[in-house]
Amino acid sequence: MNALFVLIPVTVLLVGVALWAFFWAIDAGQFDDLDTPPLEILQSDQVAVASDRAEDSAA
Amino acid sequence: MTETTATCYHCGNVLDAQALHAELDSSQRGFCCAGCLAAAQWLHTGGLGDFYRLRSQPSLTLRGPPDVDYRSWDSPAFHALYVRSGQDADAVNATRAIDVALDGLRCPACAWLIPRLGQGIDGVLELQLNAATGRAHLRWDPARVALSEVLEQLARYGYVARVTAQGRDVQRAERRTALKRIAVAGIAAMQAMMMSEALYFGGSELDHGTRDFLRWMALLMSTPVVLWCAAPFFRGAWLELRLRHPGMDTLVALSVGLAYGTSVIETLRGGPVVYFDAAVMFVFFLLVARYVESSGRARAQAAISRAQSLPATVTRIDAGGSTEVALLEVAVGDLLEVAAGQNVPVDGRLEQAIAEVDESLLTGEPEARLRRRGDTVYAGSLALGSALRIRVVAVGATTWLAQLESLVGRAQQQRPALQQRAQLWAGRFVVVMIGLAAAAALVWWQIDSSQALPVALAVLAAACPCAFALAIPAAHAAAQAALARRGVLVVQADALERAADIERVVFDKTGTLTMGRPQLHAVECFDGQLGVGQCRAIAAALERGHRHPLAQAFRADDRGLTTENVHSHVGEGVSGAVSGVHYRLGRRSFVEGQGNADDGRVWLADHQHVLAAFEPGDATRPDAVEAIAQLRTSGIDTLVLSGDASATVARVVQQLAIDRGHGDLRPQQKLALLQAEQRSGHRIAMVGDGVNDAPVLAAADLAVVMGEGAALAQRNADVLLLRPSLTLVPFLFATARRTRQIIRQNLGWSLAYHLLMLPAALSGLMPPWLAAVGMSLSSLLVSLNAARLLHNPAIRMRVEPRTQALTVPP
Repeated sequence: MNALFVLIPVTVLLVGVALWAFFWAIDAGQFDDLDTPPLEILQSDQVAVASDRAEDSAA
Repeated sequence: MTETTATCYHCGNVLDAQALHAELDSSQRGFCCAGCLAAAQWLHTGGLGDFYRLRSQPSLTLRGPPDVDYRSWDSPAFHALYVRSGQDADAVNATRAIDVALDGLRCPACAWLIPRLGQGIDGVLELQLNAATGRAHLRWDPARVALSEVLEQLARYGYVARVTAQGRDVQRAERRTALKRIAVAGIAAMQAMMMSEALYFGGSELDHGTRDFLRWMALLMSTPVVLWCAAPFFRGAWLELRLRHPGMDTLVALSVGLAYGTSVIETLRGGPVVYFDAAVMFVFFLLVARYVESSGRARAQAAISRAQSLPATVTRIDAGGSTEVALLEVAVGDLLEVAAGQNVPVDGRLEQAIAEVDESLLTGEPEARLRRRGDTVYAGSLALGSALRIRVVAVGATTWLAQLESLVGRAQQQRPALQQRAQLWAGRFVVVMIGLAAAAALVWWQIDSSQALPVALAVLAAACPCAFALAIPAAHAAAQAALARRGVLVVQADALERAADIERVVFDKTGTLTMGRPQLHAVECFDGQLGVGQCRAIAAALERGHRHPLAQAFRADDRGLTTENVHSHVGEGVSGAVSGVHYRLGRRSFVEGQGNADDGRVWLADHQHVLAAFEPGDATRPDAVEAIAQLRTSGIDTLVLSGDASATVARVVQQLAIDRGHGDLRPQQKLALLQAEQRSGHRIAMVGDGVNDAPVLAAADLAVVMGEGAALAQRNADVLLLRPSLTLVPFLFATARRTRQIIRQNLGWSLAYHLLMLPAALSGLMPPWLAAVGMSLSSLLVSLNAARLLHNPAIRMRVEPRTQALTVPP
């Protein structure tokens, strides 16, 4: 059982680090807008969209 | 038949009169917004540079010159109110920053386009958009570009900027704190749970040293959760106690406080059992539920504040000329000039011979109204065609707009308060539970003093109303999230409960069942050579850039014919040359130059002959039939109460198979009819958009407002529909009923659980740890049951056929 006396304080330490990192991320604005960033994949300029996928026009 | 259900080529939204049309892949396509158009073109050409090239090509018909005049936004008075200096250390010049709300965001493509547009304007340093709130942050260099130029560029793409109340995103700090609380509570809850499980199942095998160590660690983990994360609940409970009105916060604070308090005492004195896990898990679940609920509300609020539309500054005419002043400085008796396309900021008397205004903000009917010298022009109406000169007669709270608002406020107070009953219930539950726990401890003290504490603790754990307290908020949060995903925003907290009881839905015809914008119903062509298509193109060219509501009917037909000398004749029509030939378009008397009576049609003539007559009308929304049918299958009656002509109402009622309809109603009559229905015992939901419905909306048991509706109506909404899709109405009621069903299951379960556990705990048969485990499992069950609302199998997405591009008959 002696392992517990070491491992649990280590866990507490890790929890502290995780929370610090999360707080930092929140304050840096990482969670302010969860809707726009998924669209940013559209912004990469090099994407070559295959023109053979040309829209199935008025069929 | 000239209308087909047209959908956006890129995103599939139903197109309305503001749709854009462009040549793509050598055929005409319709788009809901500039974002979709740009995205589609970009996909076609495979590079952004091509998009910017296309922008200047005539084939790309953007929304014409911006309808809004931003010149007043450059005035010092405006800057003092809304503009901040940008924080930018390394810039040579002082930069400026402003937060604006943008109208015209329709789909994710807009969020993609807007920052791109910013990059294309010289002098714009930063243009960021938060798609969730519709707010954009703009930072620019005033030496290189004026604010009005930037905003005009955006307006050219259909994104109209408005100032927001504070000019700043005030909710951000609140959201961040809430997230931090959830993070701390969640991580701590996991840790405390692990240690508690060890304590529960380790039982007597643990030596006291290890047991106390685990307890102290659990105490360390749960202390910040109780003291910091649960602080809002304690504050709420304190408030409720001071108001002598115990509610949910009292329940939460009490159970968290008791579980934590007794656990601390037990840890200190080495007692039999601790409940740290129960305390922190409860806090975590509730924080998550509240976060989801409040972020849904924040979205709704953002949508509402976007609709705020009186200008911030106005032009005052003095002896020396005109000056730009803040709206707050205007006094009764001042002479103001309102530019064409701007909202009138005050009530005033017209000081010029004749003018046309659009009072749709007040009446909900997009129709030009003629005003003559001495007539009153109301705040909120829109100047059409020419600038207005008005003498101020009322400002601020005395304007008609403000009075209408207070009428709404009064009607709102008459609303049946279902919420109060639920709160009363919660209050009684709390009192009963506390009494029971105290009584048990007392009784057992008499019987066997050594058993008193374990029994009291078991009773407290079994009585802890976790599942009971979670039953309603968890289901509400899940339902709101499911609704928000489809574009239905629940603004009032108790609207879902009321929606579940609705038996009858009242529609306002204008703009609700119909598109709300004039479209061409029929075209009669008198000239064989020109043909219908050419007549429409000529009319569209003449009406290009006009703000008159009827002009929108022609927008889809614009083929880009060149025009010159186009003049607008107020109240009559327009005249001008198209491709070198002079035409007149407008009322029959204006076009024919004789005394023929006005027949509601728009006539077109060249200098010799009458060429065509256009019949504008309002088309029903494409999904109205399906929405009405869905309502009927779920047992909800439909009813139309409209201010329009009875014949029109009858036609729509018949077309859509609505149960009943009344036309020619004034707002007071609508209100009277609605209240008569309510007195006969029906629960009524009102679906509307115009402000003349505002008192009726407020008096209804549930007010549902289409998101494009007038600003005032939105402020009274219980539920906002962000997409102009009527099938959201039956979806709302179906979800509300399912929510009520799940709340009943949850309440039933937690009640049964308490009935089962309490006697066992009272009799001393159940050890405290079992009561605590049972409590956690019970809360989990309730949360999982609520989560079922997130996946709604009953609703299938209706796929709009993409093949129907807007077809224009030759």
